[in-house]
Amino acid sequence: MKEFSFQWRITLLTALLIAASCIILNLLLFHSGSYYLESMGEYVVDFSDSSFLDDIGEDMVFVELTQEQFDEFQSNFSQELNDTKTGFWQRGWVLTTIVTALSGVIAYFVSGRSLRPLRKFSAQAEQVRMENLTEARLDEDTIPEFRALSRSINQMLERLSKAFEAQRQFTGNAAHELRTPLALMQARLDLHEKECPTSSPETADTIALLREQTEHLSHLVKILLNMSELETIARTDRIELSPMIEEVLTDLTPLAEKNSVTLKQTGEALDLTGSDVLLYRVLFNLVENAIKYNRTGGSVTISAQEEDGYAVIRVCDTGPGIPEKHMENIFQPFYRVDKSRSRALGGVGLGLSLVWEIVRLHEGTVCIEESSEAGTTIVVTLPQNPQEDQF
Amino acid sequence: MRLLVVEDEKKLNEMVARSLRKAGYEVDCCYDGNSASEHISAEKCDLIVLDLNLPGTDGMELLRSLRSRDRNTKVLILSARSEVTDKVEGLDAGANDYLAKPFHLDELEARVRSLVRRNFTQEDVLLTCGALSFDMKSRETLADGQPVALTRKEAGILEYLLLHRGRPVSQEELIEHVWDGSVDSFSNSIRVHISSLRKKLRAGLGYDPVRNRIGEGYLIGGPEE
Repeated sequence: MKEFSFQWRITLLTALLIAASCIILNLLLFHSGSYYLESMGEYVVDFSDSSFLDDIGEDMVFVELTQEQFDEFQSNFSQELNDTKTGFWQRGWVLTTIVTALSGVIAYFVSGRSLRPLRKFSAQAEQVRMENLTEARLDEDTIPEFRALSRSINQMLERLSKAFEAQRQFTGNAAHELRTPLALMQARLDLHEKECPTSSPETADTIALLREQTEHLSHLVKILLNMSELETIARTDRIELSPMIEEVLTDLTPLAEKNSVTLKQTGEALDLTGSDVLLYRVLFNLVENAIKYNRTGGSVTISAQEEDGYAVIRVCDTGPGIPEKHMENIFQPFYRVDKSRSRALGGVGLGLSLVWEIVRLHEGTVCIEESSEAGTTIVVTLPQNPQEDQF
Repeated sequence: MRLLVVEDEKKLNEMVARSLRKAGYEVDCCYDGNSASEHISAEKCDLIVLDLNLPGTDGMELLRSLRSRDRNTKVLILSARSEVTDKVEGLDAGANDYLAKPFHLDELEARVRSLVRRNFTQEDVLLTCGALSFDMKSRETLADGQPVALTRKEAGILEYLLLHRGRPVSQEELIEHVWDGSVDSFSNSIRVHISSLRKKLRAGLGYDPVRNRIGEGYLIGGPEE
């Protein structure tokens, strides 16, 4: 009975119960009914032997039959009794079936009605998503059985959102605390280079390494901070997509030329609501990745089209493709397909996870549509007019 | 040219001051909000490099009280706090520029230079940056000595970027100064003109002199990243 819904279970159980009681009732009724019929028959048969009209009371119906008629009656009577019994038996079963079916139908609707709180409850629970974890709570003003349940779910949600919040804050705070020492290190290195331009090759080497790593750390800290602050950015700009794409391509033309990759833009003009800076970041990161992980002489195509109120943006490259086992993970923070290579390319491993976070904030989705040795297509789907009122 | 550096991290303050002195500015230092507030009311300075997290009077408060009586002193915010909110709040309160920690001293110098650059005299109408030049009077653009045909808006953008070279200029700022604030509701209507300007300059120069720092603005000149 696992695959049946709750409503059907109640209906079937009710119908079964009613059917069983009807059958028992039916059998008992038939048993006693046929007993009385038979005793009536016996009486008539007994009576025919004794003297006729002996002691009929005043208020009894008096039927006078001739001997021939009476003989006929007597011969037909047991037959008639038998027919009645059969009729009684059959009708009993028909009625049982009808009553069972009817009560089953009624049970279906009644249980549907009384299960309404459950449906409301699960609809509310479905509303809870990552984005609204902080605000989403279930209604505790419900029937007693669910009251305790929604209370415990609410408590769980609260703990969960606190944990998420704490994690976000921790990242933000840690990155924040790293900024002043980093600023100090960077300023010191800059100053040293200016004040002592002629140092020994060993010192110059050390300084160069320190500079490079400080740069890397600064970059990392900046992205971490950006990520922890994403939610505070208003997402209410009206954005025309194709000028934005054009600008991303303009920004990345030097990189593309360096890597001998050609950039193409196709698709239709469309607009959407969101954060200009954040969505720019999404497109920039996707195209930048597509250029970096491409082959020499390859191409990157970015296209945009509208599909039932959604802006669908595809970034296709001609790179070597992403192995299937990595596909699920590439949007995870610090995940890298090829660790040595991406470090050599200067990444910190947060580009795609930033994309994922931003798209999630805009109630959209991002995924790898296809990836083979001929190239990879990443598709971003964004609602043109998100429902939520933000700021 | 007199600058004031307000920063509570002593070593950083000293290094910033040292590098700015090297660049030829007179630099005073304050390590907390109260002394900075006293210093500002006692002595005139042209530019203040201001950290927001200060013991005593808070940096933002300091900025507001300064702006209530003085609109000419330039203020460059140097902050380690939340990037987005601080930047918006700081610029709204009257700061001229914003630089997040950690930063390069070169970058800071370029921003300072951009802010304290004296207004151009009548004869000084030629703006240059590398092989690129723009004549503010005839409104002619030359790339490597060859004229580049720009639309009126493109020329306006280029002029503004060159006037503020070394400092990223946001789209909002460009809209306000080049467009007179009259644009449609789209956040990025200026984008088309910038992209087209950049393509033309690139065709003339062989490289794109304009850099786009996401979330900060467009930049001509200044130190390389």
